[in-house]
Amino acid sequence: MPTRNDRERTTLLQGTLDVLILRTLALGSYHGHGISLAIQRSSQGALLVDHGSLYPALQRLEAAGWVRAEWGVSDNNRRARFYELTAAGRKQLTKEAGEWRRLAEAVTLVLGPELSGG
Amino acid sequence: MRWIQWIRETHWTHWIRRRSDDDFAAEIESHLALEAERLERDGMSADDARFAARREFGNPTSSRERFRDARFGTGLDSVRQDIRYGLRAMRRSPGFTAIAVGSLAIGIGANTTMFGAIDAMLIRAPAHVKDAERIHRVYFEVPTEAGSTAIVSNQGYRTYLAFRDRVHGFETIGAFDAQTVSSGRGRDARALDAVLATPSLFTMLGVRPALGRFFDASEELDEHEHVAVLGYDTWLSQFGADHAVLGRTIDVAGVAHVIIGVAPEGFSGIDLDRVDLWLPIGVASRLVGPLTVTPNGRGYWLKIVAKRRDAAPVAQVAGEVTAVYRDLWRGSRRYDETYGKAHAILGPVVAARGPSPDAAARVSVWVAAVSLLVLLIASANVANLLLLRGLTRSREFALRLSLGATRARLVRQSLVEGMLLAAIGGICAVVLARWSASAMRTFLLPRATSDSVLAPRLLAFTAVVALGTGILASLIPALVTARRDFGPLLGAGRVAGARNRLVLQRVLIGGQVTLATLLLVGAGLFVTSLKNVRAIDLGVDVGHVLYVRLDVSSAGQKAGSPSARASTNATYQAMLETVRRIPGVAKATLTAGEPLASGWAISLHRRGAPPLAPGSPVPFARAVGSDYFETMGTELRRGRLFTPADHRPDAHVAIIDEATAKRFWPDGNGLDSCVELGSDQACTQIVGVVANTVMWDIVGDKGSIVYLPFETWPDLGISMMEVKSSGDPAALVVAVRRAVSSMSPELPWVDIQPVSRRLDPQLRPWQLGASMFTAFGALALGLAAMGIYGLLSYAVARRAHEIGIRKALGAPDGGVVRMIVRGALVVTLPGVVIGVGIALATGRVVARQLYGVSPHDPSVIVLCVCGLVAVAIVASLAPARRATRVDPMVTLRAE
Repeated sequence: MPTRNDRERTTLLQGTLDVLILRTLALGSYHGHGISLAIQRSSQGALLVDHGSLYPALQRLEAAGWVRAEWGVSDNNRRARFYELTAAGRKQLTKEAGEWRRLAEAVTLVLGPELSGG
Repeated sequence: MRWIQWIRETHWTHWIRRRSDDDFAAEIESHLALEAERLERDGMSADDARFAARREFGNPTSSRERFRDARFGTGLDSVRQDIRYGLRAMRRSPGFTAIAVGSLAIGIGANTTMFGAIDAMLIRAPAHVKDAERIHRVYFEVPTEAGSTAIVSNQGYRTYLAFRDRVHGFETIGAFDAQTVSSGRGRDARALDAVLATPSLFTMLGVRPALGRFFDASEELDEHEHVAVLGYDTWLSQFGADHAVLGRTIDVAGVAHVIIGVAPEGFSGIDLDRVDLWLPIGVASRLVGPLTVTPNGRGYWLKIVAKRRDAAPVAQVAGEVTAVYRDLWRGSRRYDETYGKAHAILGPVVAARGPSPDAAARVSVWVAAVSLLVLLIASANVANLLLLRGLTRSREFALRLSLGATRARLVRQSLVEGMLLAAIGGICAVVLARWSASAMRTFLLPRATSDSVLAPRLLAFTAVVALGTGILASLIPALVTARRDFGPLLGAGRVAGARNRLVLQRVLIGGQVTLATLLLVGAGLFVTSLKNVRAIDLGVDVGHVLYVRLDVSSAGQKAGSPSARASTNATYQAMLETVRRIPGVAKATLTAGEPLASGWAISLHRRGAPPLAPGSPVPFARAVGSDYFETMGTELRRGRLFTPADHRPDAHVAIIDEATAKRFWPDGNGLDSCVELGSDQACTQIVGVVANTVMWDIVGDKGSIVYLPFETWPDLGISMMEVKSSGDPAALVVAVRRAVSSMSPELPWVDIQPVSRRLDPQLRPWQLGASMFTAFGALALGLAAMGIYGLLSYAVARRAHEIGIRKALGAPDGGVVRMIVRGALVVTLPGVVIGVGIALATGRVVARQLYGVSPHDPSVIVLCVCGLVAVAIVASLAPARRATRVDPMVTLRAE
């Protein structure tokens, strides 16, 4: 499988994974494997989800009532646990996404235009 | 599958909505299958794809660390993580854990043990006592002729009646007295510890009987109805807890008493000694003396206890009692100056907190303080171990910090580990205390009913102490962790930090040495005191004499009547003849009263000498039988002992001790042909002078005793036989009992005990002090040695590099050893110096508890200093030897 060099990957900040999962699920229901692929795909391979973090995160979100899960059958006829966003999860996504955007803007402002010769 | 396990474990919400492990495993399986399928689509073989999927899933261990630390602060669950982590760390270093838990178990166990005793003696009101804060023991502070004051706690029945009728501040008033009574005859005879009490005592204390009832007011004087209430233990052991026991009788000194009730379990009135039997106060007329419970009651044998009215302030009631008491003594020519000026003290119901605590209570407060010191030392030791281990775990901490754990998290981890050690130490302490607490109670409260170590109060105390100790021991290491700079350690293969001088560790060990010094000096002083007390010449051969006492009151007749006296005397004479024939008996004699503890005041007037100033102390007279001095081992100084011819009613002879001779004869000789004794106007001849002997108090003033043949005092009854054994007196006890009980089936209980047992209670404070200080001092010394050893071992390991270079540059082994030993002394000596300083400064406080040794005794202090230095050197030898084994070549290659 074509993977990038580890160093080029961006380590996820704390709490980032939650918002990414919520965002992914906003597009429809996914199983765990699908979520990790979707995040990887939509970040153009920059973000690789560590499975050791993914499942605990899903558990956490489920316990918080932001996602709910059900066993179903995947495209290629495999049993898998599918996750979907709840109403509370949608509200949480709006909130967290807003916070992230503000933070990203702020960081971009501080960093300013790209310096030359770095 | 381990990784499923760990994801389950890190699932912080599983207590909210628990999914089954299988369900979770199924999800992961499905994930792996999906991933393998995708890889296969990309062109991998099926096997390779499955393997890759699994590998891709990630390394469980490393992700776990990140995952957990990222979630810091989510409460309960992460504390559980800390505990699991701490337990694993403890398993990894069993030596460290054993030493730490052992130190804590000893420290906490010592405190649990002492708390049990202190609680019973000083804190808790006696069992079954209600409204304890309003119940008072009544004492009087009486001025003495010497100008000081004495505390008087015994009163007569007359005083009790006066208070009952005239003190309005009292709601109820009671009186009681403990007596050992004989029960049964011949082989069934036994001694019971009875308490004679007024019926009001029970209503005052608010105690309810386990069965039946207590006495009512009409039974107070016991004129016709002979009633008794059984102690709970007696009911169990002698009546098999039979509920039909009410109405049956129990023999008390030859009189059948009807059992009307059973006291509740553990009830012993306001004292702590076990009570076998409760009797109405009126039986005193048979057991104590004929006129003791009349309105003008003779003798001062009662303890008075009273319950104050709710609204009456203590001071006001005490004033009222004082007035009534002074009024009682008014007009008494003899006592107006003393008792007429007495002050009443309403003491607390807990005797040891009152104005005259007994020696055991005084000493146990000291021992409790000592056990606290041991706990401090143990905490310091564990703190030190944690600090040293913290240093060796620096890399682990640095790694965890870099992986996202916060400092707060690491501090909490340290605290949790300290708590874990303390908790385990506390559990071990309870196990230890089960054994040590019962030993301590037999020592301090030999006759009290025992408590369980598992009593809730004791367990709660242990838990609090363990918790406090855990915090105490782990706080410093935790703060050090919080402030340390782990940055430079990252990436370094070896533990760096040569700049760290281990200052804290040195201070902690210095502190331990200081406390150990204090305890050792204490041990030295108490051991010396005990040795001095034991070496006191008591004037009698304590090691070989037995006391044999017939219970006179059970002769079935009123004590004090001439016929009863005659029959008792005859029984004693018969016993004497029997006992003298037993092999192993060297000598035997009879006396009126216990030799070292009785006598009556008698005036002695030497013909021609000026009369003594009124009020000056007079000698005590003691009536003795033939062979008395030979039996007791009291040495003759001058003149002669009594001969058979002196043991006649009309003999006018006496023997005095040296103290009396010195006081009454200018030349101290004492042999005199004519003195007047008491009211006897005739001449009595002093035929001999014997050595001084102990009187009541083994460390008090000796003697001034006049010995008289008891035949010359026909109104005195014989009350004791003394037997001198040629071998071990304890072995003779059985032989004497067998011989005596076979004399007559009608014989009541005969009390036989070695003299030493009568005197032992007086030695107990010193014994206790000596053994406790020695035991705790040894513990403290061991703990300090362990601390020194640990510190130096660590230092040697850390400085192996430096030592190697020194050796490569030609330093001899001796130099290396000296360097390490010097390191030990540098931490020990300041501690010793400070410890000695504190010991000298606080010496005055213990001075009262010592005997014949100054609290600043130089030989004790020098010995302790030498001992501590020697222990420090010994503790440093093993690390020093390890230092000499450092191979310089290894060091240089590592460079």
